[in-house]
Amino acid sequence: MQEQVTEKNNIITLEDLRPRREEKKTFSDYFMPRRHSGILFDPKKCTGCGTCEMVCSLRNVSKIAPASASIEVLRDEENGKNFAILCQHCRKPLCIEACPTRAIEKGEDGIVWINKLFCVECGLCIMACPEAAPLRDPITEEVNKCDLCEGDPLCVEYCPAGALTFTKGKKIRWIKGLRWSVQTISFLLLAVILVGTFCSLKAGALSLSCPAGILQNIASSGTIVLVWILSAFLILGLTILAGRFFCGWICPFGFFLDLVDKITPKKIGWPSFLKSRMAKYGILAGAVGGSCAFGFQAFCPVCPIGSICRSYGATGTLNGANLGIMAVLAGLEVGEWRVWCRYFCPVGALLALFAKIGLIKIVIGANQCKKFSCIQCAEVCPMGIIDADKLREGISPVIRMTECITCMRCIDRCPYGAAKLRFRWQKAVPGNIEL
Amino acid sequence: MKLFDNFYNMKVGIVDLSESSSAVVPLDDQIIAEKIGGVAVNEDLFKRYEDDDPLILGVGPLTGSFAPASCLSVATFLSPQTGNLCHVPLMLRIGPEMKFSGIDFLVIKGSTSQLKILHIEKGTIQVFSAEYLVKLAVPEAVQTLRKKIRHSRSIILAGPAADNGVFHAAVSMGVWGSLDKSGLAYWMASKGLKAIVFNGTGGLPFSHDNLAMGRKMVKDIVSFNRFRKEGFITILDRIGVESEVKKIIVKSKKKDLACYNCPFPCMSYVEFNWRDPRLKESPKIKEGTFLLDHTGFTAMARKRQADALVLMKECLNLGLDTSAVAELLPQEGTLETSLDFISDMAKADDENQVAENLYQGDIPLDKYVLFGSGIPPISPGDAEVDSSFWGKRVAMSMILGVCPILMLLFPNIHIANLLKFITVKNDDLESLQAIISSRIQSILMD
Amino acid sequence: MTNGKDRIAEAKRSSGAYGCVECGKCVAVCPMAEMYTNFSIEMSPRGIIKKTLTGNDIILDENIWYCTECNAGTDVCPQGVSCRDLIRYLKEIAIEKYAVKDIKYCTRCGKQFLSIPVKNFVFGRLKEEPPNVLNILELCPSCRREMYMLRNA
Repeated sequence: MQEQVTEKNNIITLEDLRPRREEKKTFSDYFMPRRHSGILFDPKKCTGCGTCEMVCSLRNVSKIAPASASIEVLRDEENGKNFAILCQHCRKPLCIEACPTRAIEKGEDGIVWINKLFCVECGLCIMACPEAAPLRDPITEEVNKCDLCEGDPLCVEYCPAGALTFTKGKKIRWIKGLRWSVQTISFLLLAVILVGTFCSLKAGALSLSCPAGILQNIASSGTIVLVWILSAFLILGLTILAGRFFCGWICPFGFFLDLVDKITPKKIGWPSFLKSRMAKYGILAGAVGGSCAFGFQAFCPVCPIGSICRSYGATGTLNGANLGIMAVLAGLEVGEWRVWCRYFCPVGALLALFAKIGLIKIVIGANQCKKFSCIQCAEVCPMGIIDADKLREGISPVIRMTECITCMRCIDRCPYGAAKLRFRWQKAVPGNIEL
Repeated sequence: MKLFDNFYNMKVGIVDLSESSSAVVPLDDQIIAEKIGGVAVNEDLFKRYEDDDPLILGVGPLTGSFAPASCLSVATFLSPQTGNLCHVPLMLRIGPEMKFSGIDFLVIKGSTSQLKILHIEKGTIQVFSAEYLVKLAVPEAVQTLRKKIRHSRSIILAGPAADNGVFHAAVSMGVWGSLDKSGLAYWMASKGLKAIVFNGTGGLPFSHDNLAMGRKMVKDIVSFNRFRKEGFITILDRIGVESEVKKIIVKSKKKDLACYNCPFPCMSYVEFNWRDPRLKESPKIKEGTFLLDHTGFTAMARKRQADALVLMKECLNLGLDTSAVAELLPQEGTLETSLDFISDMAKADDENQVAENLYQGDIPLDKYVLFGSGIPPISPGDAEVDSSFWGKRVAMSMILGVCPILMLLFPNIHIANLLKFITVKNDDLESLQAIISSRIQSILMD
Repeated sequence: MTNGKDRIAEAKRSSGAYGCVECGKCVAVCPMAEMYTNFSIEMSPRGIIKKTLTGNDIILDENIWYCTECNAGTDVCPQGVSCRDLIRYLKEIAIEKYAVKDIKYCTRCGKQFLSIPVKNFVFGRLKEEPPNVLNILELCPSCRREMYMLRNA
């Protein structure tokens, strides 16, 4: 090894001496989430007594010396706020990047810690941390950072107000399994077993019908049939109750796109002129207008949801033209998740109009959220509506329910329980302060 | 190994304002062994420097340790209001910061015509000029001070009212106000002392036993049957304030706050909306203030129930004693006249108005005044304790350096348990207890 | 105010620079070798100590601004020379005497908190981060903490 290095350029760098440990995704990661421990802080409960600083300093300097602690309680004298600054144990820590001696390491258990053997107290980790969480001891000038007391933090134990809580993150993600099973069953029902069903399924006088199809029906025929409206309201009512639940959990084409995304997990992104979320409303208006003009349902023949239902014929044959539409739209997935649903789907557009007056909302509370250090919710959101920039700055983002398909991936993924499903009249979680 | 080695830096800082000089001298072991600390040592030092009319700041042995509410430092001086010796408790983080800054006791003597700041850090005392702080309102002064002197973690400040020579000025700990109702700010201003700034970067040795003991004590406090986390309101409850006054806070309370290492938050931050009547077409603004002075707020709320919070904030900003203001306020008046009255009072253009202390309660008045007339008269409410309980309890906590309010709230915290933080040996404990009870008697002059 | 020469002499005395035996241990452990591709003997603590001891134009030398003021060199010095203190003093003198461009000022409070070469190193390492994270890094640490509190408490 040594020989090779010398041959290369005569200089041994840190990369040769202590190469960075690479995160390997093991087989079990696909089934069980890797748990990230951390300390959550609730500023509402904090009384500013500073007991956490006292007990923390015991670990650093073996003295009661609040100034040498790895946690700092800020006391805002103008607004009466208290806030504890402590390491968030980021998923991708910036301090590790900035440390010139590679003294900071992230262990298997997710704890980011400073290896005092290599630390030279330069303080660049403080400069690289968005929260400036590593703290410099005023006397010894050592840089101290929370290492969660190796899994049993003293500050949490001794906080008299209960403002600090220790969490190991979520154990199982049950929503994921539930959603996939519901999606599979509804796909099989709608696309394979009950042929051609989603567009209109008879059940007595009523039928389960595609609301966009009904709208086109009304436009093309010029007559309003009460049964049509009632049958459309089966799905529209669901939308008012649970947002675009249909898109995330039932839609067979959505399921198909989710499957495609398993094949293309890396996204190249589309240019911004393609990405207009208003386009789908335009397509919906065009479909209704077209139906009015031509006298037949203008969009339904090319509708991908309809195509997927019709592609599998009653005789067991596959319909070539319909499969073609699906292949083209699946190709778009190379760029982003669920491109069709995001920008073009007129059925989604109609549901979005009803989701706007829906009863539920999804909130991501900045109190429990670990901000810049995690942002997993934004990464897993198939519709890309969680503002990662806002989260990084520590502002809880506003989630537009017209775009949200209530797939609850964010709720499932958040290790700290910050993403929640709420009724629209319930108070949003605090932390929405814009500066 | 002496008994108090782990609890003191064994340093006394001596400041002579007239020469702007300072010195740090070692503290005599003998004094500590005889007097333990806090008020008792303060009194001793006061007698030693009596001719110079000094101000003594001191901490107790438990200050800064794991004992619950170990936040106390005591200011001892001749009160300009009563002419007698007076001990004012200073809470928040001032006690521990003082100890961690490297000195245990601070003797301030002499006087100067130019305003001065004392900055204490790493066992050294520096004297700065404070001209740039003159007549600034308390929040601005604190902000300027924090910008000028880096790492000013704890501040004792005499506000603009004290600069103007107002008799009823009160010191402010940061922007929080204080329990000073016996003229500490007036004393400071008359000697030319504007502010004392502590930057406690040092520390104290600890033992694991103390950590566990502190933990157990906090558990005892939490399990006490009258423990209710309502912040400021709890104290008002215990001093028997009518429910109309309490309602004001219930509506606008935002947060409860506690002093150093205190499990029981007894202060609150409140927010209120108001329109300044002195300005034309001023918009309704949201403002907040700290509530720390229980008796002062009660007096103010009884006089002007609707505007109590606004007037409290105004008093805090100007560094005035709320109780005195409430007493001097005319019986009837609008918000505008009251605000004008307060700002006139802070200027003291004509002669100083003097409020009579109209305190009426179960606690003997001389004891109440001795401890700065600011500690809330919380009675334990049990039949077996007599009227001297309050005085003894306060004196005990002032010697040991723990917050008297917490000690009054929770009479189940026994002296012996607190002394166990110092030593666990039975012989030492007994002798300490004997010393403490004799000290309490001599302080209370019984 | 004392003049520059006296201040430098004072800096040399208090940091113990006269004791330097040019062993080069500080250069061996200096993290700047890892940080900058143009690391040279002039930039190393040994070079700076030598230049301070021989000439007076050290304050104008841009090499002092590369230092991160870490403790590595001081830790290993057999003579107890504190290169950290020396460079810190030199920077202080330079800031007082000249309008120095090599200093990064906090965009919120205006306090100086980092020298430009060090800042460039940190930002170079973090260049893949989104711009709003880098914007936060333009603030000094205490302002960052304060902003974080104002947003989240």
